[in-house]
Amino acid sequence: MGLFKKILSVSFKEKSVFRFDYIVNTLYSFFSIVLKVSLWKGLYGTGGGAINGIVLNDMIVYSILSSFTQGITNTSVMNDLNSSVLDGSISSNLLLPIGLKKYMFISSVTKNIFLTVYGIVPSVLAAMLFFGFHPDIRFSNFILYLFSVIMGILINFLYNFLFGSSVIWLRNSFFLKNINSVLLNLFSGALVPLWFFPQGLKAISDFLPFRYIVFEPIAILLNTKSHEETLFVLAMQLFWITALFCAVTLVWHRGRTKIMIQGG
Amino acid sequence: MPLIQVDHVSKNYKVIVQRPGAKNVLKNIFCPETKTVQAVKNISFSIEEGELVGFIGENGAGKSTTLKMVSGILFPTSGEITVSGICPYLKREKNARNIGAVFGQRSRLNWDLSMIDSFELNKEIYRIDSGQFQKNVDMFVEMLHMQNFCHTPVRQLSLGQRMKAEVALALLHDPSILYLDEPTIGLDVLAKQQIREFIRERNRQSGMTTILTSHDMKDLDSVCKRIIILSKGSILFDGAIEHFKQKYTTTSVAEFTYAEKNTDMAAELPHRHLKVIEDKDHRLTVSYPPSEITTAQLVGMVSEYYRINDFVIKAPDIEDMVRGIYEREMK
Repeated sequence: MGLFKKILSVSFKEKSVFRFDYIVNTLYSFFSIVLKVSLWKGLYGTGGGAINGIVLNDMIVYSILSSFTQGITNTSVMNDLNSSVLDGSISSNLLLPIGLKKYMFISSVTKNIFLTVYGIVPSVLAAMLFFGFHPDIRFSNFILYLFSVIMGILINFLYNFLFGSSVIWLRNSFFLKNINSVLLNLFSGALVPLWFFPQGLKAISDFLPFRYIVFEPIAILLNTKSHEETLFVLAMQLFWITALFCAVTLVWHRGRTKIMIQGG
Repeated sequence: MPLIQVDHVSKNYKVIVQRPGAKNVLKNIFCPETKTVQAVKNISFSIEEGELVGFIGENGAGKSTTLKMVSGILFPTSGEITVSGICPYLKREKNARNIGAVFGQRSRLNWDLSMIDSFELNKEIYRIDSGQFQKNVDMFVEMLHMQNFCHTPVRQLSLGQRMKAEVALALLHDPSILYLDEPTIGLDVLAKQQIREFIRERNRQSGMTTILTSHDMKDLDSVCKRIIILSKGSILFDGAIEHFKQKYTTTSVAEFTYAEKNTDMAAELPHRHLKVIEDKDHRLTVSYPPSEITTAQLVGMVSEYYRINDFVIKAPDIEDMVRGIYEREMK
């Protein structure tokens, strides 16, 4: 815990050097919410009717919540792993008496806490004031949401770590990064909630971990699930964490022997 | 049992060969052509506790690769390594507690923060006791003369200042072994000297074992008692630095400036081991084996042919000897 606190305070100190960064971050995140909400307003038109039983207000609420949820579950570990393997700086991490996965997880989470506090929270609050935010949230759902989001953070981290590790073999995985961001944006529900997915896409999303990162936690928060469905989501999240964790362990067992440190 | 034991270790790299030309782009992505490079070839050595060992070798000789295997970052392709009774790459985290390492240009400091901030982060990572931490920081800051830049962001430090901070950072947790890869590269004379003095002092105080690689022969001459010379992944020499000098010092060079020439010495050499390298513009350069000709004899001989104004003897440095060994190897 001491280590976590120290890394957190270091990453706040470090980031506060670049003040301009988080102003830009806040604006970026605010305008992406504006864009999403405007899009839904346009699609719904002025009629005020419901599509698939979902009204415009639900979509405003969903847009704001999905920006927030995507923000806190986000991780740059695939990038970090990629560049540190390619430029050899991973050797510095490997000299530390701490597991690489654990160290990168702490770094990723602390970095995100900073971005959440300084970028996402202000922009989400601004969007709430700007568009109005009238959700129907119960306290018990909020607690379940928190649980679910923490598992979402773990799933996204492990997934990114797993595919980021491919750089050891491929020596280059920038194309994976692009594929990944498309998959994440589409299947996590960050852009469009899974409610609107055609059957085919929905079926695919059932077999992928992405929906458990953004969409399902919000679905729980908005009380759209029965008790059984909620339990099923939490169980699936646990399943994905376990599966990805095993895969990462297996891949690194092989990968560690293959790592090359380039550039001296 | 020695502290560090390296047994028949080899390391091969697979390098991807990029085929040139636009039509090969897809081919390069989907079936890359690889080439195996042997960085280290079947080397063995052992190092006892408290030793100061220097690795010498040309670029790509396998020094850094060896150091990275011994420190647990890389896995050897074959062979075995034991450090303090454990395998450094299989028990990487346990081994990391026991060692300190500075790998040349690879900074372990956080560039946006001051060095003290990085020190404090390492205090948590290595779980260093607060009292011990403060004692070490105070001692290192004084020994390396770092008082002026403790709280300056690392980004603004000079290379010399940064390197001192890197070395101090690597030693905060009192490791029993220190690995230094090119610790003085690009530093000014004073900074080099302070870092060398610091390493020697730590070795005296706590018996810390040190392995360093360097291109600066003065580093090795002033810090190390033993050297290992690597070339193309194999060990050429492993032994005491004094022994190395005796074995490979064959010639010294002397440079005379003279006012007048009586007879041309190059024509009738007074000693069969004496060689004239150059004789022009009132400047004479000769080479001679110090084992055969003493300085007094040399001056005596030369003064029979020239009216000498001044002379300088260039002691052979390790660099010249190593070059000699390489050249012999090349043949």
